[in-house]
Amino acid sequence: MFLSNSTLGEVVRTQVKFKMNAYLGTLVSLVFVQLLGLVFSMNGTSSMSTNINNTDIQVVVVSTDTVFIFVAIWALFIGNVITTKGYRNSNLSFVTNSFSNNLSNIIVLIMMSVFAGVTTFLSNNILRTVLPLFNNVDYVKSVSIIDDPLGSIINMGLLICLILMISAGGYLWGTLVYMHKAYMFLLIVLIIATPTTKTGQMILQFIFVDNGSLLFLIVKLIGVSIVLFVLAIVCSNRLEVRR
Amino acid sequence: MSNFAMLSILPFLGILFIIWRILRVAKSTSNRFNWSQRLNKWVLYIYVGILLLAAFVYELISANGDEIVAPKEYTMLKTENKVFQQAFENNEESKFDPNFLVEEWTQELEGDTLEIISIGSNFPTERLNIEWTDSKEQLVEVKMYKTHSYMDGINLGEEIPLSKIEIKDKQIILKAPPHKELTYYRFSNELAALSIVDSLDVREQRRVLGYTYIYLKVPKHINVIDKDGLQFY
Amino acid sequence: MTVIDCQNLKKRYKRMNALEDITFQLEDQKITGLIGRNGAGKTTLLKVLAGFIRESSGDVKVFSNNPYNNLRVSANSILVDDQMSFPDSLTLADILETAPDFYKRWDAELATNLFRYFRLNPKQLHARLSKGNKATFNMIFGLSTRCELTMFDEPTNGMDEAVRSDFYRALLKDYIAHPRTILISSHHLAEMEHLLEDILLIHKGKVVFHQSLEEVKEYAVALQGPTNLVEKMTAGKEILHTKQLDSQRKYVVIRREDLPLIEGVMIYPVSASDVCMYVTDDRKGGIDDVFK
Repeated sequence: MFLSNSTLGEVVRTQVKFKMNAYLGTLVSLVFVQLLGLVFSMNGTSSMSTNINNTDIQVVVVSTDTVFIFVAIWALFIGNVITTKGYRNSNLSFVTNSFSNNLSNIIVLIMMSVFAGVTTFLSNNILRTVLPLFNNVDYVKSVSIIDDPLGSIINMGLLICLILMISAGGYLWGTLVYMHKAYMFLLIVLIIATPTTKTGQMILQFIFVDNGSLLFLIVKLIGVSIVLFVLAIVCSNRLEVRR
Repeated sequence: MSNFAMLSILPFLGILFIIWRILRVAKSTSNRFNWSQRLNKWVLYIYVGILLLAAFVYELISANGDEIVAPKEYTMLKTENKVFQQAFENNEESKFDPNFLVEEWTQELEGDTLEIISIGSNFPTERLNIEWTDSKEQLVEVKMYKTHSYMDGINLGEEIPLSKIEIKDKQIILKAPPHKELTYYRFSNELAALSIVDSLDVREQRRVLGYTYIYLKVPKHINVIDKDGLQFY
Repeated sequence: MTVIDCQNLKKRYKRMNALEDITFQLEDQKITGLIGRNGAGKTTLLKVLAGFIRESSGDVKVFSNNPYNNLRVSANSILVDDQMSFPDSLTLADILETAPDFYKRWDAELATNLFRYFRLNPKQLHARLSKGNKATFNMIFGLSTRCELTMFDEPTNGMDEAVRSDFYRALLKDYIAHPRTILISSHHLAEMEHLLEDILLIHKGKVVFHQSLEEVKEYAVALQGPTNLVEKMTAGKEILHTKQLDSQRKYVVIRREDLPLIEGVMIYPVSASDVCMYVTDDRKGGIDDVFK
């Protein structure tokens, strides 16, 4: 009898390769989500105004915010969807166990977040080049990647980590809902409660507010993502499949 | 506060639901139309290609626009404004930055009174200070300064009209510029949402508000009537 | 060497016990048929062995490891059933291309040849295959993995007659070329009897017997003759099955033992398939009794 011995590393690597290939469609959906976000951000996403010398001055900023909101919801959806029954079962046809499955899912989510973050960051350039052609307004020269390479990298990293954290939330959500449908309602309650209750606001404040620098925020986001992923792994370790 | 937060979350949930539905529908349609992996790959290659091309093209075309100032240069601009403001308050004319000077002239007065009047605006847009001189003549020196005004990196200095100063025999009339609206469009790679969530300082850092300063040198024996309360210091 | 070792294996679902008490061992390089009626627990047992679900109590060892969440077991075993699914985004050709990364002993040549023989469309999506083609593809996949423990759960469901016999032939040939442990569950034993070496019969979550096919064929004997004679002969014996043929003649199946020959009573062998059916029959009388 010959038994092939696969190490965890090998299996995870193979699974990541397989899943990236199999879930390529989700990245295509990301492209459409981003394009939709770009359409909505054409008129500017935020504005500031002030008054100097009896002159009202308004600065309309076309930023990545709208695209980001769309991508964030995409990330929540993707993190969730890869834990659903169909995706779970289709992994079973190949060599896997719960841990390697989780690990490869997490790596796939990280890779997707990197792609999503970088493309979200770059998507602004489409508007930069296209909008001046169609709109009859003058656009002020804005900081470009080459003007501020370090800031660009930090902002890109920030987008990646935000998207990763949201997809990690979606992943934990999906895992819990797979365990029991009742978690669905619990999580909806949680989503509404977080920004409306005192404790929730404190948590949000702890993460997002009073960060000395964006780098510190990035570290916090990565920390939160790790916590969410570890919870998902712990919860799903006892989970039976293909019942 | 709690109610307000509750209300503000509702539209977000609405968007969430709509996008959720869109993704569901997209998923089911993509199941019906058999997108091959090759097509998927091409869509991604083309999209990434377009993004990189756009970034590159923007580097080329952006050369024509107005220069904008990076946030880190704000500190310098702010300090200059502050230094000027302090010097202005303390009547230290020698410390005034000559770059801020817009106009200066001297005017001969008739009589012993000088009336300062502001018109055209409910709220005076200028800051005014008077240095009393020992001169026995009837000459009033007027200097107008303007400090840096930047918002979100855009230099507003040139676009903002200045108050007009008219000097009649016994009056200085400060005429605020007519009401005007300026709109600038700019792009940003940053998440504006985060800079709002971040402390107000960050938001405040994005703007450098300048003022129009009027510095008068008036001989001591002249009586200044400032019924609009323009003189702060 | 022992491939599977189950001791008092139990699996409870919420409202019922799927496996009551399963104890058996499976040696390597044998084709074993897992036989049982509907709801006997065949599928549950296979899922436990494949590591998809966790046993409630008792002890399961596959390659000396508990199969649940075990990578070694997963790498060396495969369960082919009709719930097998593959990502919607991959074509059949893509799936066959991916498989060698996972299964080190993947036989690409066998896969391609079988694929071509059964005329499957490489650009087709797995989810959109017809029931029969899906079963065929799953079978090809299962055979090509060359896993040391290959399990089929009702593999021929949905296949047409020709494909069925082709499947059994392919399975046998590949097994002879590359002996390994194969466990096939089915409720019709008759059509795959010629493949099997051993039979594991389970009923209501319990092992009824685990014997070689020869032993199963010898398990019982049928007596047919005048009712009074037959009843006399079988008095006090364990009757597995009985059937009143007409007003005078009766057909009774009992455990095999030396029986005196009596004029007018014929003794027949009982096929393995019938043995399994009779042994697991706990209804009183036959279907005919329903319509009396």
